[in-house]
Amino acid sequence: MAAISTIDTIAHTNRWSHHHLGDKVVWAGGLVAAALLTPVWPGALAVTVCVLCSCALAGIPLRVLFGILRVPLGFIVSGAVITAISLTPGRWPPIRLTELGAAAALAGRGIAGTAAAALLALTVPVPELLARARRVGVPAVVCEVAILMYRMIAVSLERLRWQRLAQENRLGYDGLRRSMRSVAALAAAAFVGSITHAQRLATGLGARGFDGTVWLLDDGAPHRPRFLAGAVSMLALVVVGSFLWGAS
Amino acid sequence: MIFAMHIAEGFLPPVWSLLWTLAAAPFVVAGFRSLKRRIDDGVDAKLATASSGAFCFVLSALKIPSVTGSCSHPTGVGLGTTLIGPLPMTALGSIVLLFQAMLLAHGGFTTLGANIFSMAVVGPWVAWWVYRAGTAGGLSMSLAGGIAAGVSALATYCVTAVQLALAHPDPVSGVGGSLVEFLGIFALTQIPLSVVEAVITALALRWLSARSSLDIPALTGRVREGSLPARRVAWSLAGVVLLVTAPLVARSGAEWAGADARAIGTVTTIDPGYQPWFEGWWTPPSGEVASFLFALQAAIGAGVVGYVFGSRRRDARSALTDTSGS
Repeated sequence: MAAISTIDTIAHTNRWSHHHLGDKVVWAGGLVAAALLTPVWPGALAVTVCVLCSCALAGIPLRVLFGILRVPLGFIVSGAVITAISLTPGRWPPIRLTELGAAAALAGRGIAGTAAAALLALTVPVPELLARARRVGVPAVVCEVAILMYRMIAVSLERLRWQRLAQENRLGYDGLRRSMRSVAALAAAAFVGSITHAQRLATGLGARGFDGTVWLLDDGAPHRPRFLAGAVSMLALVVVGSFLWGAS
Repeated sequence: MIFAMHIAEGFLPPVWSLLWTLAAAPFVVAGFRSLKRRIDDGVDAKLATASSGAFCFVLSALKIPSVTGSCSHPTGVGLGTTLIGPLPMTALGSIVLLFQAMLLAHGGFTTLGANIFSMAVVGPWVAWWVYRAGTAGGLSMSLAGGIAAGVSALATYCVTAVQLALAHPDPVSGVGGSLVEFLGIFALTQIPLSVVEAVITALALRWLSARSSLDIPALTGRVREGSLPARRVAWSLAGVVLLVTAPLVARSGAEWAGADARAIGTVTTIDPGYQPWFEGWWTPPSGEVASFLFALQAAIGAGVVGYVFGSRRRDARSALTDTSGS
């Protein structure tokens, strides 16, 4: 079974998968906005706690969330370190720590924002997002190309996985030189594969009377008033609370 | 550790997120218009376009060997641009970046505009210009493509550093100092990565040109030549104007002085009693005359540049009609 990524699998299988898209976007998108706009110290902590609780409610293992956050964390930490130091040529030492507070605030915002964005990614399946985007008025060319890309990515990744396994079995990744050659061959094969894939698909679909219409379906889940009310009141609590706490 | 140059969610203040989104928007719109023209050609073109997009996503999922022993991912922008062209690459690259945020949690939603600007606008266009210049200068396709990929990866990293430095200036040394810090620290990972990407792109293009019998326009050198549509020119100009005015708006309190004034200031701090040893032999009678002379100089320069481009373009077009006629 081809899977694009852990996030994609979870987005389709968690307890919130069949909630209305708008409800989830209000909640997770609101958390992203709160992470950016509220005073960072209570705000970032509150947003992070909200994300952790939401994951528990939606049945997303925290282990998965932390695994996902590992990569952006590298960027956040190095960016915050760079902000913390100050470089002054002609003075000794030329590098010194000056802005610890600002760096900590930046890291806090980064972690809270990334966690909230990850919550959005973990709860919203891409096809549903694209179907809704089309209905909201995003141009057809964007949504259709994107949904076709999404369908093709799983197949392409699967093909790549097998090609790479074949190369590994032939000692294709033994040493730097061979690794470079193997990766280059893999990239070239991916391009050839993408073209022949499209040609075969066109032949097969043409035989079935494909006229170029790409259907974007959503499951038409109803709004859940209780979920929405809970999300909005929780967001209000986070925003008002962090402004009050941050001001005092 | 995987080190991506995606600016993480929450890392840019809202003003900068908005500004970079606006800066990227005209290019993304132009890119999707070019996709639409391509798709309107036929049903099969839609599948082929989406397939190219899937290829761009898969490229960025390749694991490449890194000098330090850890593994990393290429941007894939150089290879993608040489194979499918810059405008489609901008459009498909934007979708790839959205998917990376949605499917891999790389980058973010409010920082999407900034990431699109560095990786799907600057990257492809730099790659394309370098590639065209290289092939026009007589380099082989694979070598030109390799250099283009390396240069575009470097350009992407520089733009990301500029974006971060503008948003988080150093309290002591300002944007300049902050830029030096970001460039310096990211250089540790990004310069080796750019070299690796250049080598891999060159090898992949050589592999394709040597062993593949596919009819790829970019590979066979039949890049479609024609006059630029006025609309595209207008969009590009709008983008340039936006880029030029954005810093003026964002840092409206800044002082605009030339390098000369700064040099004089430095000299007087070092030696307060310094006397200039040389006077200009002619001073313009008034400020207006001085400005006029500056403008005249710029106009003559623009005229020369325009003439050279125009004549080169005419030569290229006549060469094209000659070959098609024979």
